[in-house]
Formats: sequence, structure tokens, C-alpha cells
Amino acid sequence: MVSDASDLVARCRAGDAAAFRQLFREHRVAVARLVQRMTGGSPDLEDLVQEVFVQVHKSLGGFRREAQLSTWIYRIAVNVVLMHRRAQKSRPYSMPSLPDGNVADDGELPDEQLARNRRVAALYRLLEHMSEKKRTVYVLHELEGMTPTEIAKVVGAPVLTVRTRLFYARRTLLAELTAEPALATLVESLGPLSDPAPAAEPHKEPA
Amino acid sequence: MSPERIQRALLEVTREARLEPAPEIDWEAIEERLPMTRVRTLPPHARSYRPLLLAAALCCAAVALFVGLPRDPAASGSLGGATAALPAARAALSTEIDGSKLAPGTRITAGDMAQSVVHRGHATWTLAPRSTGVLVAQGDVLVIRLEVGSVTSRVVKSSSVETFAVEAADVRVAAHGTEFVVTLAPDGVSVKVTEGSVLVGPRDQPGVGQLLLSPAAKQFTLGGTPVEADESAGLDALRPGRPRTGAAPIPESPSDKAGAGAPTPGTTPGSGSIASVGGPKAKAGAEAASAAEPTTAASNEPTGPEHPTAAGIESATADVVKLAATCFKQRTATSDGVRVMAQTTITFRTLADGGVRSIDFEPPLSPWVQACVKIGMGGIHTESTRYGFQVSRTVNVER
Repeated sequence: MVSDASDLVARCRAGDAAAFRQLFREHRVAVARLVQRMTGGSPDLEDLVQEVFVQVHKSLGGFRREAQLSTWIYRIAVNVVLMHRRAQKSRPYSMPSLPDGNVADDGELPDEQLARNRRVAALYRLLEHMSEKKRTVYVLHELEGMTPTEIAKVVGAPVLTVRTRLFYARRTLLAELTAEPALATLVESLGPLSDPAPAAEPHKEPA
Repeated sequence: MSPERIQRALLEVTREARLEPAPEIDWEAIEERLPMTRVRTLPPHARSYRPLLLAAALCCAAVALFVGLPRDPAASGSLGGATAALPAARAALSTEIDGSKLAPGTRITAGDMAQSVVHRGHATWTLAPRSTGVLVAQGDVLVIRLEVGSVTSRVVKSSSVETFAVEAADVRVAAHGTEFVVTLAPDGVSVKVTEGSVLVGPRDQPGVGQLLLSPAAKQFTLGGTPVEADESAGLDALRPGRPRTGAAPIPESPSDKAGAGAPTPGTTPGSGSIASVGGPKAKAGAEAASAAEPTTAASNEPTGPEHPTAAGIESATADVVKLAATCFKQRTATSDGVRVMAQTTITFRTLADGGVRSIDFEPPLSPWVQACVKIGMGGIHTESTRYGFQVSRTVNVER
């Protein structure tokens, strides 16, 4: 059950350990998923998630309730990941870890699962080569399902800027997609236009 | 491959990525490592008595202040009439005072804990435990008088040369945007500069004296004359409040020192971080020195002032720092939106003709930045001095 955010934050500020534990449990999965997507599967995932909540605790005094608690935590998570990536900049790039074959049986054949994992890993590699601003808005919009208005609050930029970054992020991905063999195969395998793939734009804001 | 197919492939792989399950994480382990999720189990007495202990400490400080003030011989000194007991009492109850609310003449005495006075946007001065200082002047130039003990001052950098000064006995230590410690002892005043530069000289002659560039420590007589301590020992040679032993004979004035111990050509004056600056006495001393060494002056000895002026040092430093910052911006690789920052100590040496002999960085910047600086230093011209001079400054550069 999601608690009333204001009350929860007030209790956390007062030093209530149980309240912070509750906040942690309510938001930890979303934070972990975001961190994973922002990093493309970093081996430091657990450390980063932990750091996000340490920063959340430190910054609780600055939470002004102008944004939702989840948006505010996302903002902290994005900053933690960006700081981590900058610190890691000089280190060699490591391939994102692919999920192993021991996944739950969802009726998919092992070959299909492997091919899908490779495609997803290829997408993260393309995102890895993108500027952090474009990558951030792409992940927040396309993978996290956030609207440009919400993203604007997370990244601290105007909505128009977010839309512009999103446009260029898509354009960059389209230009480089076939450079990845797994994705080039996907392009080849797609049938004619009369057999369209499922639409992937579920996050349009109301006019 | 048609653009439509590529676009559909992107939509498809994005959808697949969106459907990826959340990562499997050992949440218990993370929760265990987060200290703020643990209920603290401090012993009951530790929690209940902590505020009482703090209150008791503050009370002791207040009592010590009231008892100590009348017995303090320095308190009845030249500013005795300006003593403000009430502000001082209030000061003891807090570790930080808003300096803007203090009237000139307010005496501050630190109890068992250090006492800071904050003048927002200007300076912060912190009295060591059981030290006493008096706010002499407010305004553009902030002046405090150290009566007992030691005071550490941090001055906000300003376009004005001197915005803050500490007086101790008959010594005046004027700040040039800096952090420094002044300690008053029975046999003299020690000044330790940890950042920036200060001018130390006689209290009644502002603008005259010896410029100390960080890091530096030096002992002065109660009259403001530098004592020839072993400067090679560095900061450790002069601990605040430590009695000085085995000192060299005290010269009559800074000019005497210049005349008696002129450095050899090609070396930097003093320890490399200390230089004399102009003033009536210094000029007289330089003339006396040149008169005392006619044969040297007639030979190939370079001419010109022996030491740079404070303005000359600041101007040269500003040029070198600007060059380093420009080169760092031009020659540091970064990607969109990434800021790269570095902190380094720049040490530059000048030639007698005002050119720059070398610029070093510790820790070193990238070879590309250093090459750029090397090229650009030919365009910097500093004040001409007889032997050149050396300055070190720690700076932050950013791309």
C-alpha cells in the first residue's frame, strides 16, 4: 500500500527509521529499474541503488512537495547515475550483463529469449554511445513511460527542451540501429508495412 | 533497408526493453546497509543526558567569560573603554555570532570552545579557546584587535586589496583575500598563512611591511619587525603560541633585513613564498642596500627593485591563472553536458626582465593543457625585479 507521501516524508524528517524503511520499500523497485536502464545493467547496480536512498535521506529536508515524491526520487536517482557515469568515464566500457537462460517459462523458446536479450543489450549499447542528456530523456520517456512534463521536472529543463532531446535521441538511434547485428537482423525479419509491429507510444500527454 | 522498417525495429526493441523484468536485487542486504532504516538502540542515558551535557558546557563557557573578563590584564588595554560586556556574554553562548550586529568596540572572549564571528560576504574570524578579540572597525575594512590568544581568519576575495586586518600588539596583519592565523605570545606575534597572502607590518603604518604568500609562517616582534626564524622548517617551525627559541638577531626594520641578506642572483627572494613590498621604509632600505654594495651594482648585477609590489604579484598571478583557465577550457576533452573540474597549485617563476621563466602545476594538468600554457606564457609580462620572483596559488579550473 502506498502511504500518504507528505506524512511519510514528515516522519522520515523526524528521524523515524520505520518510515524511511517504508519509503525505501515503496520506491526501491522503481529506482532499481531506472538505474538499470540508465546504466544498461551496471555491475554497480546495488551500490547505486543504495546511494540513491542515502541521497534521498540526506535531501529530505529539501523536498518541497512541488513535485510528487516519486518524481523527486527519480530526479535524485538520475543525478546519482550521471555522477557515477562521469566518475566511470575514464574506465573501459564493459558490456551490459545479459540475462542468463534461467528465466521464468513464459512460453517463449530459448532461442527466441536469447535473441530478444541480444536485441535489448544492443539497444543499451546504442544508448551508451549517446550523450547523457539524450539518453536520459529517452530512457525516462520510452522505457519508464514518463511524460515530457514529468521528465522536465526530473532533469530540470523546459518541456520543449525535453521534446527536442527526445527527437534527437530517436533520430540518433534510427541512424545507428543497423550497426548492431542483432537489430539489423530484426529489421530484416520485419515483414511489409501491412503487418505493423505493435505501436510503442503509450506516453502521449493529453493536449 | 527502408526507414519505415528501421523505425518499426526501434519501436519493437524499445518495447522489449520496456518489458524486461526488474533486476533481482538482494533488498535485505541493501536495507541492512542503510543506517537510516535501522532503529537506533542507544543506551538510554546517552540519549537523555546529551542535551544536558551540551547545556552544561554552554553554561560553563558563560561563567568562565564573566569570571575571566575582569582578571584579564589585556582587557583593560587601549580599548578597555570600549568593552561591551553584554555582547561578549551573548557571544559565549553561541559558537557563531553574526558580526554585522556587533558595534565597534565589542570584545569577544572565547570560552572552552572556539568562537566564530561571521561577517557575511566579507570575512569570518574564529577565536581559539580562551582567546580575546575586539572588533575595532566595521565597514569596507574590517579591523579586529587580538588581545589574548589566537585568531584564525578567512577573508572573502575582493577586488579591493585590503578588506580585513588583525592587529596584535603593535603588529598589523592585513589580508588580501586569504586564510591566516595570528597568535599573540609574550615575545611576539606569529602569523601563519594557509591560503592567499597577507601583509604584516607595524600597526601605525598600513601598507608597509612584509608580504607573506601561502603557505608561509613567520614570527614578528611585538613591534611588527620580522624575526629571522628558520623558514626552511616551513609551517611546523612556528606553531601558534609556541615560544620561539634560538632566533637570529632581530633586525631593526624590514629594510635592514633586505640590506643584510640579499639573495643571490637567480634565486627567489626569501623562502620563495615571502616577498617584501614597497613603502617608505622598504624604499629607504633598498637604497641603503644598493649604497652598501657599490661594486656589486657596478658589475653585471641586474638593476630594478629587489622585490615585487603586492599589485605586481596580484597582476602577474591573475594573468597566469587566466592563461591556465583558458588552456584548460580549450584543451580538455569532454562530451555534451559534462563538466570537468580540477584543482591544482600553480607555481610560476619570473625573470628579472618581467618575463615568465616557468609555470608548474601540482598535481600536473594534462600534457595538452601544459603545452598550451607553455606557449601562452611568452605573452605574459610581469613587473621587472632584480631577481625575479616566485608565486604559488591553488586554483580551480573548469571545462
